[in-house]
Amino acid sequence: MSQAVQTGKLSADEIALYDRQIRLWGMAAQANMRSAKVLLINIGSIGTEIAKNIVLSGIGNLCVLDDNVVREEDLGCQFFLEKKDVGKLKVDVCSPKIKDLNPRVNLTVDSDSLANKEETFFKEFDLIVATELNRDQIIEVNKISRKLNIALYVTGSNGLFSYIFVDLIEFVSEEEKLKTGRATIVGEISSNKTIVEVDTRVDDDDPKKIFEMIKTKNTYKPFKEMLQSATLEGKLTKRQTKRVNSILPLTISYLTTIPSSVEELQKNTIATCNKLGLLPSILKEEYIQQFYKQVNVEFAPVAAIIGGAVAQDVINILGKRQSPLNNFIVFDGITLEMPIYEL
Amino acid sequence: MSRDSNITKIIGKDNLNKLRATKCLLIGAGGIGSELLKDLILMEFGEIHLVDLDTIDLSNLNRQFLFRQRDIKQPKSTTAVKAVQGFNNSKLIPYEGNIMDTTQFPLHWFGEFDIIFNALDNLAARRYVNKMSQFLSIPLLESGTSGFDGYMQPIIPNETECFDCTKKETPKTFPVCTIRSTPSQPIHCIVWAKNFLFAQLFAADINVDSNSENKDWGTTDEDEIKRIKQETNELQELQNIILSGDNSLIPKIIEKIFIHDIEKLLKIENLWKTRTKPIPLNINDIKTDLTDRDLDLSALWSIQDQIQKFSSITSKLMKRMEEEDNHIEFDKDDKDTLEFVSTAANIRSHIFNIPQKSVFDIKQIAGNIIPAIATTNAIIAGLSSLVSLRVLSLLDYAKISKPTDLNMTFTTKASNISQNRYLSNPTLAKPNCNCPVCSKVMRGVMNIPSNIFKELKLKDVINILAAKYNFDTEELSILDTTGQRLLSDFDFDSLDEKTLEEIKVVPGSVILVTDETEDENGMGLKPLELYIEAKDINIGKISDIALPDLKIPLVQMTTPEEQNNESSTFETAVLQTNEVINLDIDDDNEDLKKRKLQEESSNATQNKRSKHEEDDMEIIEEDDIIELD
Amino acid sequence: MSSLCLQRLQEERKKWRKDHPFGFFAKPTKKADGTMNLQKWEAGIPGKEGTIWHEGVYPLTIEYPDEYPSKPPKVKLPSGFYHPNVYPSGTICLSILNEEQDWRPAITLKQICLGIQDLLDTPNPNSPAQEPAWRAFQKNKADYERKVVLQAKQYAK
Repeated sequence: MSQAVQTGKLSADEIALYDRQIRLWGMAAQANMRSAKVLLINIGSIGTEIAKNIVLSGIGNLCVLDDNVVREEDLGCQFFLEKKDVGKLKVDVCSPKIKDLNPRVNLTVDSDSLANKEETFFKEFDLIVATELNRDQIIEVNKISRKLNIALYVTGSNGLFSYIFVDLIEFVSEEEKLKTGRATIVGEISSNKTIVEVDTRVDDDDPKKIFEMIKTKNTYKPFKEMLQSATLEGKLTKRQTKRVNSILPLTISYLTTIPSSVEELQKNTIATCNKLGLLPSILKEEYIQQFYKQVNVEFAPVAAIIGGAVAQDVINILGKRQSPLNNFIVFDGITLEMPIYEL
Repeated sequence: MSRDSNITKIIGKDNLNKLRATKCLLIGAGGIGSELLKDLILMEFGEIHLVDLDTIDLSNLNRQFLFRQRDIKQPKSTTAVKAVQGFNNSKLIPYEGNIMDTTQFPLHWFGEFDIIFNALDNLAARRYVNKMSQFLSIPLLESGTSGFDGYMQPIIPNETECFDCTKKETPKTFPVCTIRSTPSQPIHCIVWAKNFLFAQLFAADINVDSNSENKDWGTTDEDEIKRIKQETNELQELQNIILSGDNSLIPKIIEKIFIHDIEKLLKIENLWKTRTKPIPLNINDIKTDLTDRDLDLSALWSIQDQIQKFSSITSKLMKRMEEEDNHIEFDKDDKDTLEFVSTAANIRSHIFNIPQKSVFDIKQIAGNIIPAIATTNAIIAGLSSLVSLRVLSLLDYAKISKPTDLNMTFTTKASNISQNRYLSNPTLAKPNCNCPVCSKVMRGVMNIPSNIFKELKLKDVINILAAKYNFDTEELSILDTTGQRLLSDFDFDSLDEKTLEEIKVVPGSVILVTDETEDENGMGLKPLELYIEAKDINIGKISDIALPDLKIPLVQMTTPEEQNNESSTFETAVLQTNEVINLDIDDDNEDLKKRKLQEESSNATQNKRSKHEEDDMEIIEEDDIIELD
Repeated sequence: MSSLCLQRLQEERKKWRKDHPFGFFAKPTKKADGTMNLQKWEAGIPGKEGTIWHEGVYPLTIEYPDEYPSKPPKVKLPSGFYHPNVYPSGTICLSILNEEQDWRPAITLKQICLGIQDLLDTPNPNSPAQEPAWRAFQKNKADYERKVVLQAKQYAK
């Protein structure tokens, strides 16, 4: 258990409230989280889950940007919303509920359109989580996040299927792990990750236990570049290549071009497979059909899983612990498969 | 577009109607339970029955998102149901109670549900619900989290592995010798302070018979008896000081446990041949300053502060003993008991040259606190609710051909098992043929008219069972599994003439019936486990007793002596966790649990892994970062 | 309480019934309600012939935890028992009874009883559990043997 070096300025009340997580990530990480400023773009089903998770965990400042009004169908997948809210601005409905989850959080809401937001608006944030955006919006936000050197998470769902894109530009993570067998060595471990430093530490309690403190440099690609040049060639073994889930090329293809028919989706996705270095034969017919049928559909359990994963990574990088996600994750709600690809 | 337009696109109108007619049981309204309740409501489950025995605590609020500061001390189940009213469309029924209470929740009550979701925090309840699901053949979705780690496992009775098919981690224990004489880690001193010192001083039975004159000392040597008496009396003396309420005697306690006892240990030279010798406290360090000062609970204190705090807390506890009927139990949330254990452990650590720990850290170890966060709970609950669609056959385009096609899942990225998969999703295994719960016994319900429990004799039950299943009455053993009570066997028939009421076999009891007859090859009839249910008929007779129609097969009974080694014992691999050490199972948090990888079970003839899983294992190996220690 | 524990204890009783060493006894204790408690047994260990222990049959209590057979039973001699490896409380320091040492789930009651019979006459000086018997055994064999024989008479067959 990592003991905080500086206990920061956490009050006794905060320590009591956050007890069960401080025991996981220590007081220093908890104090770091309190000073963080996060921008959440759109509060749909996944956005709701992310807001809930990071606010409960004690993120200091959250701004929610969303110009949508509550629709009838939102009631089936967003737990902040009630029937009487239909037609109202989402941020107005969600704001008191988010605040109530954890009154310590400094919450601001903004019902302006994303398109109206200038670069200066984004400046004050440490991190942006964007949900339910289309290709051009993602590229636009990503351009700004890169320019301002802000971490960016993008996520969206298509019924039972979902994705997460991460651009932390460059991020050095430190993790501690129990040494078993051979030692970890410095050097490249995958296309986007390089181990830059390894230190060891003997456990206080049990001198037989040796921990390795590993510093890993993660590099990332902008969204636009990923869509244009992403490939898995040379990154996977032959067997792994054959087992790539259909949801990966389907998602990439859909993010690149919105098709007007299922046939077009199929055609585009075959092309995507070729670009990614995958055999089109991995595509499963029922997945193409269902993906098309379920595009942009929101579903509570999937939102809970993806919202949980994104929020966890946000907490990790703000607390500066554990290796972050890098860089494209898909989820298949049928088989519960959730692979992480370096694209 | 309407509220249900999204889910209709995923499962279709017909299946949505089926879901709306589905009645589910959700056990636990804590971390996973709050999340599951939200998910199941938004999925439009028709009826959700929510059971929890607990009340809300401040430390729950970092993850149990339905609860607020203002709800502290309120029951979880009813508070959760109130909290979801704004977005709820289902019929919700909350229960405050322990799921293992057979009066409130008899077997036939479980029988009303189509599916059970476990969101529990302890092993005993998990095992119990698993057994109920086996008795009734109701699908069970089991789940658990501990910090970043979580798992979700669908259990389809008779078709897939049950909860008890794999060995579960049990709380770690330490050899007596290490705790009492040769501690080498902080945990050893904490166990000593909590389970030995605190328990002896404040929570022991006061009427120890060690003073009775006619006690059998095992020797007639006067000196020896004196010595033994002294040994046993020393603790009694400490207890007497505590009971006397006399503050001025506190230095005596310190002297005894931190000086004299250590000096005695030093006399046994063999103990210190390869170990660092402990250094008893200096008598001059023992002062009688009893002021209660506030110190930083997350910092390490000086030895002087430890001794001072130990004295003032002991004084406080002595006073409380008078008010609390001479009995105080250790409770991690009772500051006095926690600080007593912390200071005692740290002083002992100091003596044995072991690093000290802060009160904050000791609280975790002594109180068996398991870290718990919102995100892992949300992910696991999402997976559990999602897989229920396939368990209930509501995804027409992803129908399973057999239950072992379903996936279980556990966290891999967050648990540092894999860097390229967030979750692992192996398909389910078949039941373990050595499983004591789902494979080694037959199961059924014995219905007995409620009015005859007070006249039906155990002997009558034996005869009825023997007649129905062709058992040999002379060789029949009957066990009440609820209290590990043997009621009758070949060498024990003194209860046979007693009535069920007299021997406390009541509705809700589960009896294990075994005919111990074996043929020359060690084959015998498979044991039978019967759940006793009361049948409400006006004036029932013995002839109204109903037993399940079962054909009991012959199985290998005892393992022959020469083969009695590990291979005949029920064992499978578990993934160890390095983070938390359990002292006991009195835990109010998420159960400490990590999901095992799908290892081959001890028996090679079954548990053949599916193609998919084999692939999984290979992928993990390719990653080359798996840790199985 | 696990089903595994219960089924295993029932098997232990059956095995003991079929086969146990001469002069030993072992049976579950009775609970206040008249039923037998499978988690707490009583046993008698005879001292080996030809040793200073032979005159006694030493009473044991054996308590099986809920986690048995993953965890070993707790085996105790009477408190104050005179033996270098027995704590003043009667708890026996024996490697096959220690989870972190040689305990294996396959170890039977018979093996435990025989192991303790062995330990009586062959104490392990490297795991002292009480000072007097350990000291006498190391430094004053005559005194040690005298006390053991006295104790044996106390537990005479």
